[in-house]
Amino acid sequence: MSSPSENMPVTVSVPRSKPLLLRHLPYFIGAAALVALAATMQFDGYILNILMQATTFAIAVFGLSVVLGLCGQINLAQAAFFGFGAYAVGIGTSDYHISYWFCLLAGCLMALVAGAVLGMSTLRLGGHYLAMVTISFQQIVTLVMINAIWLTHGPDGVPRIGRPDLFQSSQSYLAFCVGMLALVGYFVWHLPDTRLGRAMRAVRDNELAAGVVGIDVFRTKVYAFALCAVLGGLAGGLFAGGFAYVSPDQFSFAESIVFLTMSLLGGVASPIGSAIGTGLLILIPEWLRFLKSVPGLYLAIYGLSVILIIRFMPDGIWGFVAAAFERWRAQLKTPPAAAALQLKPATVGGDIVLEVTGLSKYFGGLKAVDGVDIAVKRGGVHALIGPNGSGKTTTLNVLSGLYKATAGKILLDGTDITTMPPHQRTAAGLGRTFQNIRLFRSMTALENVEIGAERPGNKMIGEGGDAALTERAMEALTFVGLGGRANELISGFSYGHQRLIEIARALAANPTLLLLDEPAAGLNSTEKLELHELLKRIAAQGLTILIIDHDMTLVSEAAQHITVLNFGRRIADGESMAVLRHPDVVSAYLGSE
Amino acid sequence: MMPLLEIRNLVVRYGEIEALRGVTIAVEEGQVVTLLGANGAGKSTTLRAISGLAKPASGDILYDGKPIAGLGPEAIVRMGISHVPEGRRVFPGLTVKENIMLGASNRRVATSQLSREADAMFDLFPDIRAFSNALGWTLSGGQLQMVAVARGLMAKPRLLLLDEPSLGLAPVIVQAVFRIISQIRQDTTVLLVEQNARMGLSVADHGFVLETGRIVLGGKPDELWGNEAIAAAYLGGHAKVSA
Amino acid sequence: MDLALQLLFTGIGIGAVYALVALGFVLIFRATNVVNFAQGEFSMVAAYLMVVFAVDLGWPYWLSFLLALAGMALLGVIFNLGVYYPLRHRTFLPVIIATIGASILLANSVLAIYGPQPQVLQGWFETPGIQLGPVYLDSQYLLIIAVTFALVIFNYWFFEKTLLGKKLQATSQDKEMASLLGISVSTMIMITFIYSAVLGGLAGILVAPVLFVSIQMGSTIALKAFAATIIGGFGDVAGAIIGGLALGVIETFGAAYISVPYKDGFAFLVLVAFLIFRPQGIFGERVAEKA
Repeated sequence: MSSPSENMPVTVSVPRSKPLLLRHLPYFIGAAALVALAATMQFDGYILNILMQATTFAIAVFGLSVVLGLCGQINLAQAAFFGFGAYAVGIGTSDYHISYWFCLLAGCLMALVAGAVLGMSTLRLGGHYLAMVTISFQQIVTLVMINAIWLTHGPDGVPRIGRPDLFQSSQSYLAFCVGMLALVGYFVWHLPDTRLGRAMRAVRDNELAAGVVGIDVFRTKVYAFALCAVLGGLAGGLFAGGFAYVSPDQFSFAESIVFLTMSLLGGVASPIGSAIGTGLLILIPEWLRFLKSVPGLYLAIYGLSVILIIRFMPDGIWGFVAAAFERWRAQLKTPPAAAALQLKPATVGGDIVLEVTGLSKYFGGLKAVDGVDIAVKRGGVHALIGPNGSGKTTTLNVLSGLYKATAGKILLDGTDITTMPPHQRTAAGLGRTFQNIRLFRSMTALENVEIGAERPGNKMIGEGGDAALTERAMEALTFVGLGGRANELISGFSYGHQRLIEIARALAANPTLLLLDEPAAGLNSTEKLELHELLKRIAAQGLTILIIDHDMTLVSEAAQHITVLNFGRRIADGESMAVLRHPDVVSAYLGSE
Repeated sequence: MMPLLEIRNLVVRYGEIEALRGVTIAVEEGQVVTLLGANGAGKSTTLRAISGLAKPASGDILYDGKPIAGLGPEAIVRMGISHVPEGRRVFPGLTVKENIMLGASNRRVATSQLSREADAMFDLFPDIRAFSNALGWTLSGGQLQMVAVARGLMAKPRLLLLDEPSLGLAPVIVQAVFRIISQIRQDTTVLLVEQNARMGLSVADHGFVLETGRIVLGGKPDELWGNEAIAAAYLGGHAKVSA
Repeated sequence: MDLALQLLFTGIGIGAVYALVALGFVLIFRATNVVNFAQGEFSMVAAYLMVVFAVDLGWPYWLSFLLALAGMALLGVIFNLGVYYPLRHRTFLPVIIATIGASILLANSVLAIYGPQPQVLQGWFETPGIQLGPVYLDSQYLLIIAVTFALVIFNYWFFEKTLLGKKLQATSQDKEMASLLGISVSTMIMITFIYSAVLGGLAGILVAPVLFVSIQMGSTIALKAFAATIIGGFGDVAGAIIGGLALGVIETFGAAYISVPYKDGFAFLVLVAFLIFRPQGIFGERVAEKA
């Protein structure tokens, strides 16, 4: 820890960032050039088909990069969503002569609704369920495509699919698809830096911590899943127009696996990876056409590739390249300067910030916490201590909503939070850190703290725009002494610094009450002293702290008030020095005869 | 005489955390040795390193003169070191007797013989005999501790590692557990980790105090007891132990 | 009424197959916390092995049967070493993706070797079946039910009455503690994979004469079996068996009274209904409290 008392603005020269659109101009110029190229170059039909397929598939694979790469949820039915779009455009334009645009929109909406419903029914449960349910869904969609002949023409497929009037020629339609690809690519590229994208990454990195910093985990997953489905639908609609004919075998489970392999091969975390993977897996089978003469052979190779990629190249081709690039870029980026951190804890209730009455938590017959009362006074440091197994951590987990209380009531600043899920408690003003640090490991320090600052109800970030968020996060990082290293990845920080980043993440949210779960665990003695200093500076701003720790020197010096638990019950409560000399406390720690 | 267990400059890291920063202790055959210290001091990590659950970053662990650092837990228990870990870890879906029988998995014994040995174990732990066919998860904390120790003894260890046997138990039960420890010591060397300093030292021939991964004190129980360092290790130097 | 009895018999017969595969799912899940998405392919591969030995090579049925099971045991070993074991310290997502990859690899390797035409495998018995009052009892269905019943009893005996079974249970409940007692965890996991592969293989061999032997049979059976485990309560052995039987009956009645082409869809509907209204299944409270 560099000197933690530097609560001064860091004076680093900051290049004023240019407006977003201007910075991204090169992307749009490049995209426009590609569209122009697609519209004007002379391709023969074979090449045109390959390009058309690659372009539309890439959009579907972008969807997977959102749900699997960003949010860490699996979708094995992307071909089914792809089919929704394709059949909507196919049947609509061919059988009912409805406008192409309307059909495309309808296909996207159908995919969206199907994805959302599927997600909502499954995403609360573990990932195995999602995998199995998406496979089942995929099979059902295939069944319907084959058997609902009155609607889908069954195995014969849908011929004579229309295109919009504007893009009647294959060449112009390809240019249109490339344009769509560029737009979607832009969106997916920037998604990780939006509020939703950060939430998805947080859920992927650490679901528990995501809930505790105020993210609605379930809703984030459903959004990711629905977004993936809608991109699948869009891609399918474009595909149908491109090839003018669709049949059920193009949307089978095997195709879902092809999409998955494309995504994994290129690198699941980024649209660039998706594009690389899609391109390779469309071109390679074309080069190795002889493989297609033996049915099953090329899919068998896909299956083997999946196993090998997962084992030897878990981040895919682009992930491998990007990791190197990212390290280099982090060193170049200068973090902006930051003003001093303001902590203005809300003051709605009275003198008591946290009032816990009769709190109990039973695990089967075990009474881990049994009728505990705690009253935390505003603006002080309150410690909760007790020997191993006395129920402290269980109490903290009940307070932050990770466990449901068996009985009792928890009032935070006058609000009853007893039955709220973790993210709502955070919105109500609770902040916490974890004994075993739970940071979002694939992100930079700044991004971690930004997610904290994004807490719903944080009044310190104004409208919550990107600039305000970054500013707030920088203030918090500077407050703990790490402002200068904001853009480094978490893995580059020492254990002690990671702990400080976790505290900064909680502080940036401007909580009403900060719960610190064994902040000194694993720190060496210098780091402990610095932690002590930091606690003092936090308390000086009037933020109330409830701390659990085993380091009695730290506890006795930092806390004015101590509650002692043993066997799940409160055995002492009061002013620090008096409590530590209490005979029951001494015997609880040293043992009695 | 060569000690049964000798640890020299043991360093164990969990990722970035240095849990042990050079621990040196020796346990003579036939002794009960107690490791004391506050939570997070490294007591459990020391035992985990001995039994092979934690891989040492550096340092030596010699058992009966042979280096065992880096061996897997299955190999180490076959050499005669049995570890009863923190939290008892009784298999919840197996009965008490099945749990105890599995304790002999380090030895080759016929099932019928195993059953007899498990029954004999109930003579040492009469309180759990009645629960012989009860599933692990139905037991109380004290009963679980008895099962865990009985299971550990089924390995017929030369060295028994006991991690916090008194944890979360009511005082009467703690006393029962410690009575059993003083019975065990007649044939088995015991390395005991305890938070309950008074109890831990009452059965010990020798004690060590750990603080943030280092041994800060070692000696006979009566030398240790009343030493300021013990109170400091537990209560941060603000409370005096009434001797 | 007669039709209903007949359907009940058929449903239980088919359900017994689902139950066997579901049992394989549950055993691997309990030992490794991983859902093996290639479990259904074990059934498919075993059925093809039977076709190779009994039909193509014309060897005696019993010999082919034993060879097929031996082949499955070997596949279990290879699967563990090639797919699960290298990834055992990773999170569950890479592991299940790898098992999906393995499932695709197995199915399409067989397709590449054998081609897409479904194969026919004769049943064990010469006599097609017996008429019992209004119900016709097909001999193969009788065999399926009998073997499943015997296997459930064997499974109970193996896990509850043998020391090896106890060691397997101990390993699935707490690997670290099992290793402290001297139980070889990697051996236990290997045994679990072998046992599950053989169970899945048995299911495939039993069901092959009733269905056709096809590439798709694996994934179809696996989906049903997975639905069965959810209906019964995920991770619960008894639940998997009851769930499998229930699903077989539901599906058979659905096909008879509602629609044949959508027969395979009923499992999905039942699955989704359970996920929404009773995710812990009929029996289970195994959806543990989140920590």
